[in-house]
Amino acid sequence: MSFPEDNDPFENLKSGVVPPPRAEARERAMVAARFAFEAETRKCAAATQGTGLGERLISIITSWKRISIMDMRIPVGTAAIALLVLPLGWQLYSSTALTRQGPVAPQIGHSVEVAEAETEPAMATGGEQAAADAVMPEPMMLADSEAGRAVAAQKLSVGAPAPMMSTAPTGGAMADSGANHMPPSQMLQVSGDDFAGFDEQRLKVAAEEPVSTFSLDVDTASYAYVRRMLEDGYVPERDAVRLEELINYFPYDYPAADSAEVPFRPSVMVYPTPWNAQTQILQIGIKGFEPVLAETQSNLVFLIDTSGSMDAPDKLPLLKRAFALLLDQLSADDTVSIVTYAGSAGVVLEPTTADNKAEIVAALDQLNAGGSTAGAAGIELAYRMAEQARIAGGTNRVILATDGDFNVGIADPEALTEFIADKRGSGVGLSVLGFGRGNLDDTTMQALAQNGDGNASYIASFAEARKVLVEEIGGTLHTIARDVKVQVEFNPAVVSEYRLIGYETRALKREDFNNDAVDAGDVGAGTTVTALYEITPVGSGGELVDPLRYGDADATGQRDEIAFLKMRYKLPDSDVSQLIEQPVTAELVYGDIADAGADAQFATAVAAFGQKLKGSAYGAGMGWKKVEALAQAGRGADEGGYRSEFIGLVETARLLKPDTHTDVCDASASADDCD
Amino acid sequence: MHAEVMGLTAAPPPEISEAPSTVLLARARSGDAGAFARLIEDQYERIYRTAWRWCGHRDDAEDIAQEVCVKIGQSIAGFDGRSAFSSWVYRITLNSVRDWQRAGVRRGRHAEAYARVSPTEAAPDQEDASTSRQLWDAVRRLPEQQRDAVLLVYAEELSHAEAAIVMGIREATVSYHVHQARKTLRGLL
Repeated sequence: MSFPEDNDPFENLKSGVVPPPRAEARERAMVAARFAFEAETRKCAAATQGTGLGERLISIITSWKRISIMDMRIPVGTAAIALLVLPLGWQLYSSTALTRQGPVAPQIGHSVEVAEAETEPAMATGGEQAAADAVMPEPMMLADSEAGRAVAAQKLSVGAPAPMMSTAPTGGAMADSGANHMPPSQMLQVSGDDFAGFDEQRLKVAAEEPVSTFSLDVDTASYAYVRRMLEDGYVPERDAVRLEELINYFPYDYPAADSAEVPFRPSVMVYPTPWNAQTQILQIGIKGFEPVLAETQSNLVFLIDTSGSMDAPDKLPLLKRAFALLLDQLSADDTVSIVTYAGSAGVVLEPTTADNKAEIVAALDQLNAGGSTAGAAGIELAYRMAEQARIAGGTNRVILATDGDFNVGIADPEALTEFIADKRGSGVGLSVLGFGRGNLDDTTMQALAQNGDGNASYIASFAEARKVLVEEIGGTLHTIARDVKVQVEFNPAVVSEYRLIGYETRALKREDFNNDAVDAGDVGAGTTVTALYEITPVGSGGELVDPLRYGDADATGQRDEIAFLKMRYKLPDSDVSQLIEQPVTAELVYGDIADAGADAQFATAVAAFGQKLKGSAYGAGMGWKKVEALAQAGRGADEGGYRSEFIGLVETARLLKPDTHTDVCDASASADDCD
Repeated sequence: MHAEVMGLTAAPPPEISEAPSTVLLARARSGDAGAFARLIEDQYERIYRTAWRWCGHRDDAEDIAQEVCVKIGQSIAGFDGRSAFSSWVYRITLNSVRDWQRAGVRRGRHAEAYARVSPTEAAPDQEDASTSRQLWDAVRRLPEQQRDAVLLVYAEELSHAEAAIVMGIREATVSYHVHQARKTLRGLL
């Protein structure tokens, strides 16, 4: 698209048609405004009784006295002075040999001081507004001087990190000047996504707390989210990085179970920790039994969010294509229905057998985004559809596709999760597919999927849609074991300290393990799940907690078992749990991580990556290069290319969040000397 | 042009459009709830329209418009008549849009990145519509100052002087921003 000089492209903006607001939105605004007005009036009346007249009079006088254009000259003038002085100061500062060669951190501190020093006089003369203007100078002033431009960008980046996004088009100048002194790691991500906060698993002393209990988690949403943030050039916020979801994103080659009766068996290994020479990793992996897909029957209800916020290329259009993929996996035995929620809930497609592809695709295609989100009404309708087309002995599942908006309808997430948990009891599950970024309510997504015996997946691209809806469709649709809980009892005679990596949001109480009423994670067909413990063997010297002076000195016991693993699960149609027990013995210990196999190397590389990314207290000493090398070593056959992609992501993370120089060998300059 | 701006103090401020009557405004300022209700009802359409033009989403525009209405309700008593009421409303609206977008809500930054994932929705015969949509998208992605200047002058059809008052900058600066925007867009479109 190009414009001839005589034709002003902006003229077209005049003819732009604005869709009218909805009456109810207008009404809401009116009510809110009147309410605010009355509240304010009451406040004023209370505050200014008796002097109201005087106050008003003063304001009239000032309005005659102060001429608006004069008001503006003060900040413009101070801004101009600031801009004249700053390039000079910068020139002096940056041409000084001493500071140029110094380490990174002091330079940041220095540049902040410079910016503050320059804005101070402006504040003194021009008041608040002047200060604001000085921090964000008009580009007008900079037109003639490239140096001024760079400085302005510099000031922006120092003074106000938040507008980073909005000043993107001046990024060229910013990058040029920024390259000298600002590590990009300071780019905090600015997103509207909502993550539940959690504390990292803490180290536990085996003698005090020998038993560790948690629920398995097969979600992978965190990895997809982290990947997207990194690819966009942001370091994801800490709480968005859930280590177990990172690790479980990748398929591992564990031995599969033979029958649906015992749907998985654990494979356990112990090998040295790559980031700590004094500790070991205990890896527990399971692979769910994989039934033949063609023999299963599914009744799927797509519950699709068509609210206005879904109107983005990576949301509704991607969703349509993703569901078309899923459709190809289904047959005449399966039924599909489509329900939308957007302002009001509606049935777009009554239950239809999946061989009527044309009909289903046509129904999908006519979906349009627009309207506010009333998730709950849609959910009720979707469950009614699922009941209507229920297949006894098959999979009955609602698949909710949303960008995370649940702000209208059953606004209370707890009421919503209760509703879903109730429905799960009647045999209809729920899976959640998250789309888009910036509006994602991760907490609600997780809560809904966990209560619906399903998983929450985050779909950021077509490739991701393929992974979730084609390659892992079995796991998404068919649950082979429910409420899978893991309990590990460590032998204090062998293990002095241990730490579960990830699973913070999945911790269970010790007594919950044998209580079948307590809900836990579900394992889908063919899914692999991995859990890692970092354990400190007794006498290794790696203990972080000092032994007790008056403690039980001789923790004698049998020394041939490191730990004892217990797992509980329920078969899909049973309410009584089954128990799997297995001791972790010395036979499972490998002296070198390379002997433990590619999966072990890769899983620990992912764990190290996640720990570094979230600024964990553990594993920070391992440099990105080493993480990358470890992932390379563990790449294996890599069908699907996920592991290769991960290796690329480590590289991106290294650039965004460079190693703090705790490990000399990882500074790129000296890497060669250390090998 | 400066004469006109200076004239603010001597003569009534230039009425841009749909400005409330002075009486209504005065009554609302002095705390008359009925007057305020009428005033805000008159203003809503325009506020919503502005918000829509700036963000391009009906949901967002409705939310922003509501926020603006609330802000007006809270601060109309303090409105000092130094500038035209409409400029004041514009200023509140633009600030709200900015806050909204800085809060990171649906910024549409990724539209481009996913254009290759999903084809343009517009049918080929709707070339005009898609061209204009492309233009709107591009304008909304401009740096804030350039975007504000372009939309105020072209979409809201204010004069450069009026836009200058709204943006709190000099008239020449408005022209400069529009000029810069044109240059930026030549690269974008």
